[in-house]
Amino acid sequence: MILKPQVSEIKNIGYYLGRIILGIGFTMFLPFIAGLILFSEPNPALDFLISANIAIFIGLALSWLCKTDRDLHIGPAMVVIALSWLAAMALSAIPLLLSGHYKSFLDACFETMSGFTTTGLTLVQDLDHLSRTHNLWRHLGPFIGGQGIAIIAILFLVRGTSGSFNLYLGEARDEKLVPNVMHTARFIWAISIAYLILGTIVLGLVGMSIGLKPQSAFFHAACIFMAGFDTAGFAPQSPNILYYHSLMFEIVTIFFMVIGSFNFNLHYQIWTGNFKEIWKNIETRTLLLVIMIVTLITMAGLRQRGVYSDGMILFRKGFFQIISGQTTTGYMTIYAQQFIKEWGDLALTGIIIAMALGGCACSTAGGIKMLRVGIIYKAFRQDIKSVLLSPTAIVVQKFHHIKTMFIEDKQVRAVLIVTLGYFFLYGLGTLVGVGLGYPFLNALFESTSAAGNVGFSCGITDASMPAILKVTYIIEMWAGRLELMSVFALFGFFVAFVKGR
Amino acid sequence: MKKIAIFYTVTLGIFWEVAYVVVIIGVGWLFALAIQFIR
Repeated sequence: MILKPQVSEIKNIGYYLGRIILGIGFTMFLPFIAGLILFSEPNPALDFLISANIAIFIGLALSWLCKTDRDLHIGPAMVVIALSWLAAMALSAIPLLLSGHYKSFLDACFETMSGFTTTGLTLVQDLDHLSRTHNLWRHLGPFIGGQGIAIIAILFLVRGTSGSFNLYLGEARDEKLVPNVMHTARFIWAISIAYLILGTIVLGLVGMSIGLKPQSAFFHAACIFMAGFDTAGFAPQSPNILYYHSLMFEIVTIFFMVIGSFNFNLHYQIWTGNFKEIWKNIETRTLLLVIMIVTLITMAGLRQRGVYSDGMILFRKGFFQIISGQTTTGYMTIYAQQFIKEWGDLALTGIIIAMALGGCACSTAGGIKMLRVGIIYKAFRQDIKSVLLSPTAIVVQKFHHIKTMFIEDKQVRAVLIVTLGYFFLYGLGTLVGVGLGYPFLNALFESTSAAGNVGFSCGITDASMPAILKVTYIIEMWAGRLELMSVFALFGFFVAFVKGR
Repeated sequence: MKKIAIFYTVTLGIFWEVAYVVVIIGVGWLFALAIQFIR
């Protein structure tokens, strides 16, 4: 029998949702202040003042109406997380809609969901003339969403240790860096801020060396870093990374894309002196192996078609896209149409595999994740060994992730369920795309890009695409970022609300 | 003294992360160079 959620439970969800919305409202003051002081753009800044007030009013009203002292359990926490990502999408879309660079509210919502989920698919019109204030907000989205919307709430607005931890779990993060969730949240932000400073300086200097003016170079650097480290793939100019025409800029971007796709727990281990972890960890080993395999497939496809004859061009056009796809960033040094018109099926398949598998767990990257790929591989090895060896032999399979662990059936089951969920998501978008008349490979490419939070486009994502496809991709980005569980929890909550007794 | 030790460890940590990416870029570079000679 399904039990109907109690009023106290709904109030609990409303209270925590209100606190998170309040946090979203406060973050809008960042572009407001930057727009007024740094960029001298009072009109765009005003868009953020209006939107921040709306968000703060809703947040305060929800917190006041649903005021409660109860701590948050895991089920309702997942519902809060799923709803807070939808709320963040809708409220953050208001300033973008007010910019006049989006054809509809749905397009602005698509953009903000793409940003928060670190995807990078875009529906902006005339990006090259978008104000810096709005552009900063586009890039702040991935920086906030990548680290986690709930992480901000945990740091500033939410009290109660178990409630905070449950919110942390709801955002598909099941690894605590240190025993205290508050300290974990602080460390995640410490890593991100340290790299933000380093990345902005390095990319800014490279930008200046290729002829950008200092203010422009550092603005571009901050934007590219935020969207690169958080594996989102937004850029301030429409040609994306191709705009800079610089090998050095591309190499530095590769560094931040790969480092951004690392597990935060791995960063913690390395930054606290456990340097050997980077070479021993199952995720970094699997990542290196997968990159080698997809590089071989993609480059063989490109060679077969004779697209890039020179090794250097093959590296800059082929390998850059492979790393961008594998880390689920989505930065491009080619035009979207080139994927379909020039690359051919084999190279495209290589990129689709990279996008589908994704970066490391507990990072800003999307996709199935290297930890799961590694565990599935080890489980296969264990099963094959069991078949080949004597029936009485006990086969034990170990793997190293922070500490050495043994493969357990329970673990493999959990990994396979999430992996199947991702395949379902990839298939869902492909089905809708094919149903709307797009070729199969194009639809699969775009759907994998959306659900894997990558951001590559072969040309389907456009303001003129059908609204049903926009909604499908929004759902894919949202469910892909939350690794489905919180979305299922929300669905279950509604079913219980309607059918429960 | 403690702050200097933390700075030193973090800098070394970043160095090892960068070293890992250098290996990845090296692999890509080698593959790109090797494949251009294969017909």
